Amino acid sequence: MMGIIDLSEATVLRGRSKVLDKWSISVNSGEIVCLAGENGCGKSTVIETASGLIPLENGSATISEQLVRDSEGRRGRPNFGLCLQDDCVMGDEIVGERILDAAGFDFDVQGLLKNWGLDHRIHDRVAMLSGGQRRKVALLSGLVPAMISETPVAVLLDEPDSGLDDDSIKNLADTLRNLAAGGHAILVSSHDSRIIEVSHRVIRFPFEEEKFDQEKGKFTLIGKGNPRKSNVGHRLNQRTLSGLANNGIAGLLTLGAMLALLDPTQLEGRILTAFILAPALTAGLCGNPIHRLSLENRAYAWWSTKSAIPQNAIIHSLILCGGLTFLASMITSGFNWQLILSGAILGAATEAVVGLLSNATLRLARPNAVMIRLLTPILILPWALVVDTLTA
Amino acid sequence: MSAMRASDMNIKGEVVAMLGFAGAAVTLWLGMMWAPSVSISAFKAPDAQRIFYWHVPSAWAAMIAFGLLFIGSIYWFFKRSDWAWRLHVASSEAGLATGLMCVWSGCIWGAAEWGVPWDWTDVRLNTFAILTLLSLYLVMGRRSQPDGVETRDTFAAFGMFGFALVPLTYIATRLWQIRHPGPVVATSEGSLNSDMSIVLFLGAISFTTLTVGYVMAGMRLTKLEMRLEELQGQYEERMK
Amino acid sequence: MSGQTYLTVAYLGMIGALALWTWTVFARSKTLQNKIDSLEKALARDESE
Repeated sequence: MMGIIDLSEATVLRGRSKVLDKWSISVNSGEIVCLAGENGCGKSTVIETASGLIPLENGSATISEQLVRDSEGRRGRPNFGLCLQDDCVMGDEIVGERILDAAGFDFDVQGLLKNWGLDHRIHDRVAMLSGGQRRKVALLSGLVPAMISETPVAVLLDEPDSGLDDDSIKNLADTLRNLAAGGHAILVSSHDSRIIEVSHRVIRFPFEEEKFDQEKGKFTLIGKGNPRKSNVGHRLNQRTLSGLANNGIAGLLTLGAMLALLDPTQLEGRILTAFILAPALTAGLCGNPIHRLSLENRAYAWWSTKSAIPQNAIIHSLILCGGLTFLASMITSGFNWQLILSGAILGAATEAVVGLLSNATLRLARPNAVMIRLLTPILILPWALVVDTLTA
Repeated sequence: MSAMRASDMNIKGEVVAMLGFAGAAVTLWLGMMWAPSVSISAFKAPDAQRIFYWHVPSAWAAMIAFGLLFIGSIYWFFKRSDWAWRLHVASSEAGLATGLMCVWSGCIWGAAEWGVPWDWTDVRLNTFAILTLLSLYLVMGRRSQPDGVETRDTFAAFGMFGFALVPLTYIATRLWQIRHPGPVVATSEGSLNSDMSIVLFLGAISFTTLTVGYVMAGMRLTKLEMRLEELQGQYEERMK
Repeated sequence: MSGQTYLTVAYLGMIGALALWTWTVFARSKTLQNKIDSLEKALARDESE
């Protein structure tokens, strides 16, 4: 019978090495399995493979009997808790909001944070926290799906104790014991003896396994309210004005530069339409403003386990590009709803394509070092066609 | 462990490339000195027409290189073939060089013949430009990253999906052409004088030989680099 | 510009591209040679110790 967390005959390559070679693990309901071993032996690879972040050359990963990833490239996104070695929190996320997003439901987050000494920070941005506090936020993001669930949930934790003080590690160990008592399945990698001591099985990576009897904890279910839609992209964009600062400024500069050289009253035909739609194109070519934010602490990795669509602020982009086109239109020929709508859609679509291209480089060791803009000249063609169509 | 010297290695690729060079040089000389001039009524810039003798062969060579790039990318992505990755690396470099030659000469000839260096209705020019930019991206991108399965998968994926740009570019430029029908510029279509055909044929053979030679050399060098990394790893293991 | 000028510019550019390509192949070969030489020296040193 399949466990709650199941990695079957998994073969994984990282860099130039084969880290896992037809390796299997199964974590059952109510079990805490700890991966121990020296640094670089593959513990993080196991956690990341089980959560679907790394492609498999062979085998499959399932959680709660739902496919997470297999060697054919199929992917699924079942509900589970995840805390990676990187904190995976964006600096502009707010502590309380992040925990609620991780839960996917409304609940008494203040009470939970109080147990971890973070309730006074509930409304603070993550960037304002110390390293240890940020680690706690990351940890709670991984634990909370199990804390609010009556049915067994998988919890995957990669070195959750790193950066935590002694009291917090003790709190973590107790929490794990209590979650296991609630039927949840926990796979954790750790060097810390306090985490190892509460584990039912310890695997000294890759093959040495020891089993232990553990005293049962006490699971207290945290009551939950309504389901919650995350929408973190739009929220962050509103908070940081990232879209305005990157895309908006570029569009405005384009408009300004053109106004410096051209007399808008003398423009007509295709040149006029191109003038009006150019700021939206430039804004779009700047790409997804949330992409840059999501690179912080590898936040994109955690969010990719929640949603297939990268975090974005597409509605804001439509409004911004529409606004730029409106401005350009009013300066030249007056209000033209067709042009404004076209500018909005063209700019947002361009931004989406550039965002997808950027997203495709996230597996690289240095994604910022590649010149993704080299692939964007083709986006001139649709813009030119739209200009031409609207002029005809 | 036996010592390796690149100079002792089998250097077939470089020899083939040198043959291609020689052929290209002869093509250049023949194109300038021997090939007949074209008539003033057929071409606006009859002197510039001689660009044709390298422009067309470099386009042909670029097509071969891009085709090899596509094959190498697919085989790496789906079969994890080391040979295919080496083909991807070498052919992206070949595609960049030949693509640049084709686009550059196309722009100059366009400026001479059409009066403008670019024509959005020209499917070939646009397609080659897009694929050349893709090759530049792949070559520069690969140099910025450590070698590994993540790097190879990412760039092989770009290599494959970049080819989706070819039909898209075709559709876009055709749409543009439908809206703006203009005179179709005579290039290599239409009947060619037999002397011109000889020079062109020699050019095509030379550039093909040159490209194949460089791809072979590039693949051999990548193989050596991989072998060197392997030996460095073994050496470091021994030092532990 | 005359046709001859266009012709010269075009061919100089293409020859430049060929020269750059040749240079990169030979530069890679040279870098590789240097790395092999360092490894050989290190191994020879290791064996003699």
